[in-house]
Parts: sequence; structure tokens; C-alpha cells
Amino acid sequence: MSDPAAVPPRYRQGVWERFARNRLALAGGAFLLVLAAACAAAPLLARESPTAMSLGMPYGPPAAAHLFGTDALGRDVWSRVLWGGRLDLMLSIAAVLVASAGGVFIGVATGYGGGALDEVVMRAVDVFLAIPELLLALALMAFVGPSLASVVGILAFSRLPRYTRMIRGTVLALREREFIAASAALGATRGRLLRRHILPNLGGTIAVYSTLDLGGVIGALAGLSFIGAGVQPPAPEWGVMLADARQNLVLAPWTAVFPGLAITLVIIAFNVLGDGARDALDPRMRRRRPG
Amino acid sequence: MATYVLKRLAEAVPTLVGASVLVFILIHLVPGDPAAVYLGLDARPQDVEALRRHLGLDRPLTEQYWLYITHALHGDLGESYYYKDSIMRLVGQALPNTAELAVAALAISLLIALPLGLAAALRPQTAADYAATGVAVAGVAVPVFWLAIMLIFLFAVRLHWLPASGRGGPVWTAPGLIHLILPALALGLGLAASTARLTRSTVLDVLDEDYVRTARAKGLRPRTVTLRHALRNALIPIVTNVGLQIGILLSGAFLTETVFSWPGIGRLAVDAMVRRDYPLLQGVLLVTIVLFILLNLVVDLAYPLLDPRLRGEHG
Repeated sequence: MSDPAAVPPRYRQGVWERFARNRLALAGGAFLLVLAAACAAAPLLARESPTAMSLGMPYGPPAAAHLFGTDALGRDVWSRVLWGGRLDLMLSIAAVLVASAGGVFIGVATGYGGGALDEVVMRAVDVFLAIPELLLALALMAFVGPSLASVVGILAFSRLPRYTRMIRGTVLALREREFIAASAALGATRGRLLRRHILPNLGGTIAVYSTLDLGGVIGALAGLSFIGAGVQPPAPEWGVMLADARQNLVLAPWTAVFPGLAITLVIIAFNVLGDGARDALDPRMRRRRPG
Repeated sequence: MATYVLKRLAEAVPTLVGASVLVFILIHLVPGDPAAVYLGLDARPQDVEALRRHLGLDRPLTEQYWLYITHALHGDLGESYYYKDSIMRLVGQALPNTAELAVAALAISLLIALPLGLAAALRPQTAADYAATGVAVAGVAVPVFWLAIMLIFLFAVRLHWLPASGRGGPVWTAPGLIHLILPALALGLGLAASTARLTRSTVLDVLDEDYVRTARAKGLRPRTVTLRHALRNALIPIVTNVGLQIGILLSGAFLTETVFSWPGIGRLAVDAMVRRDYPLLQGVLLVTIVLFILLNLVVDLAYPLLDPRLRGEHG
């Protein structure tokens, strides 16, 4: 997204230096990298399949053979947490990418284009913003029906109004900046202004916003799956695992501990990483979060 | 003031219409014919045809919407396919239970957040401050349904202090009260996070104000300064924030009610979804969303009452 002409090198150096000084953000980023690597290497790190049941070993407490124990069906919880992380991270990142792409498209079209389109889209955005995101996603999931594609699409759609409004606002602010006026005065076309100046300058804002939002998306995905409106069992997914665990609290409480801990840590990590990125990119942006 | 009220009321109308269109459209998202979907896979063709006509599905979409919305405005949301009962009645039975849970959760969140945030502001960098930060971080990151499960494990499964699920009756009876504690705690802790953080930062800001310095200089007791001057003035943003939390409260109630089998609208919706009782689900969603929009409206209209400074601005 960044363009050498749009961002002076000194500024970018400063961004990295500011970020590197933030130990909490670095720790969050490191944790996420390790987790992502572990999830990617799930086939190597977990000897057992996440869905293989062993009837001889249900309700097994954590032990050497099963690090996180086994669940009611004798499935290895360690393996399910890793494979679940794979699914949760991939679906959430996909949803955030879709929401960002859609937000850029609509936000730029309305913020830069303006006019009647802007009016109509913003009224629609207001309607969607008036509905809690989880409720909107639940409503759509219940009627569209669950599949991995619909989970990603609906999660993205439920966040889209906020992305659109945020990106439109950024575009409107950018339009008033001197360097845009200067470039326009030099005879730059609308297309060139868009490509060279508007889009590159949206990159940082979107990166910060979507990082902060990823925690929320992971939570929403797990929540939807938990109530049966997201990823469907027997797929290993953290929310699905917690729904199973809820039924077996007396005999296998450890099955409830690890997926919940995983969700919590990932959300904290994305939050501190996003906070760090925001402070590094623009110290003036402090205290702005996706609501 | 009157202009502000009218403007805010007028703004709510398109939102309400838009939301009702959205809920109405939902049933058409289900792959296949809604009448066939309502009746299930093994329905006879003539029944499907009869239902199509009964539901008005053979008429244009705009006419169908008009029919749906005029019926809804008369309190008729149709009949649940599973319960064979009026949807309005089912929602009417569930709604007070959700309200009870929500109010209890809000009360618990304030009971935790206000003292904690205040203590953190008065004594920065102490145990109280760290506790407030801990609550703020955990409240944002711990999913409410996981917290709920952990509370059940600790207080119901292990300690046997409190029941694991269900509603025990009216809140003023002993079983009613003990059944309410865990779900309200699970829902309330998440809300306490932002309130605690906000209380801390607002009180810190207010403590810097000139009138606080004046109050201290007059020789008022620290206690009086804290409660009468600092906390009271910090309350405005805190109340505003409580208004903003209605959405979190509602989403959280859906999850919490599922964990605790709490007979509110959240569980009604989730059950309807699992049973593919689409008319019921549609009805619950319509009522929930409309209620949410109206609650936000009330909160917005209440601001000028709380903060006299706002009255002038809005004319």
C-alpha cells in the first residue's frame, strides 16, 4: 500500500523505531507469530487428528500423551486447539480482508465521489450501525445457512458499515490536505490523485483499524460458532469446542480451559499489537479504537 | 431543546424503517421457497401452496412488506411453527427475563467499576490501579461465554454454591435471586471493563479542574471533595458510556442466556434458529432491533437532562 513518493523515508524509519520501543506491542506480535507458526505446523505438532475419536480414552485429563487432555469423544484437545487456531485465524483474517477491501471500495467511492451515492450509502450505513454486529451476523447466518464461505462473508458484512464509515471519513480528511490540492494544481487527474495520494495514505489507517478489529472478529466468530450459527461441529474451532465443553464441565473441565484461554490471549495480543501500530504510525491518533 | 428532540425523533424513523425492511428480507435469504422452508422437507405440495397464499407470498414484495409491517404494528407477528403459539406472546414472556438479566448485569458492572475506577484514579500506580487495569484488559478480551462457563465450573460444579443454569422465579424470591447471580456476573464483568477505565480517566481529569482545587483550598474534607466534586462531575461521561453499552449488553445477553439456559429473548432466538422456526426468529429479531434503536433514542434524549451544558448547544 505504501508508495515511496507519498511517504518520506525518515517518517517510516521513525514508525519502526517507535514501534520497537513498545515492548507490549512487540510481545503481542511475537505471541501471534509463534501461535500462527504453531497453527500452520499443526499437522507436525499434533500427532493425533483433531477429529479422530478414541473410545478408550474419553475425559482424559492432561498428561504426557495428551498435553491438554481428551474430550468427551476421546479427541485430543491439544490437536483441536491448534487446528482450531488455524481455522479461527484464517477465517477471521479473511473476513477482515474482505471487510477492508469492501470498505475501501465503498468508502472511496462515497468519500471521493460524493453526491447522491454518498447520501444513499451513508443512510444505509446508519441503519446497519443501529444493529449490534453480533445480532446482525446471527440474523444473517441463521437465514443464509452455515458454510465456511458464508461465515467469512457474513462476518465481513457485519463489520463493513464501520469500515466504510471509517475509510470514508479518512478520505474526506485527506481530500482537504495541502499536498492533494498542490498535486491537483499541478494538473494531476482524479485517477492519479486516487492512485498516488489517496489510496497509499489509507494503508496505515486500515492496517491499524483492522488489527484492532481482528480481536473482535475472533471473538464474534467464536461466539457465533458457540451458539451454533458459525462453524459447525465436528470441525475443530474454539467456539465449537467451548460449546462441547459446556456439556461436559463435570467430567472434563480442561476442555473448557484451553480454547477459552486461546481466544482471550489472541484478542489481547491483537489489541496490544494494534495499539502499538497506531501509536507508532501516528502518535496523534492515540485512543481511537473500533467501537 | 425541542428542536433537538424533534430532530433526533425524525432521524430514528428511517433507521426503524430500514431495520424492519432488513428483518423482513431475511426470510427471502433462505435458499428455496419460504413457504416450503416454513413447513419443512416433508410438507405436502398443496399445504405449501396454501401457506404461500396465506402468507401472501404470491403478492409483490412491497405489498408483502406492507402486510408484515402493518400486522407487526398491531402486535401480530404471526405464529411460531414450533410452539404453535403467538410470537408476540412468546416474545412478551421472554423479554422481561432478558430485561431482568440486563439490569442486574448493569448494576453489578457499576458496583465493580465505580469503586475500582475511583480508587485507581485517587491512587495511581497502586494495587487498586493495577486491579482496574486488569479488569479493563480482561473485560475486553475474555469472551463472555467462556467467562460464563468458568463461573459455572467454579461456583456450581466445584463449590456447589450457586445453581448452574435456569431461572428460579421472580428476583425477589431466594431461588430467583440465586439463579440470577452467575449470569448477571458473567454479563456484568465485561461491561465493567470500559466503565472502570472511563471512571479512572474521567476522575483523573476532573481532579485537575480548578473547582476541585478551590474545594480543597476551602478546606473541605477529602471525602467530600472526592464524592461531591470529582465523582459527581465524572458521572456524565460514565452515564453516556452506559448508554453506548446497550449493544454489548444485548449481544452479550444472547450468549449468556445460551450458556445459562436463561429463558430470555436471546435463548428464544437461538432455539428458534436451531429448530428452523423462521417466523419466530424473524419476530424476535424485529422486536430486539426496534427495542435497541428506541433505547438508544431514549439515551440520546436523556443527555440534555443530565448535562445542562448540552441544552444550549442544541437550541
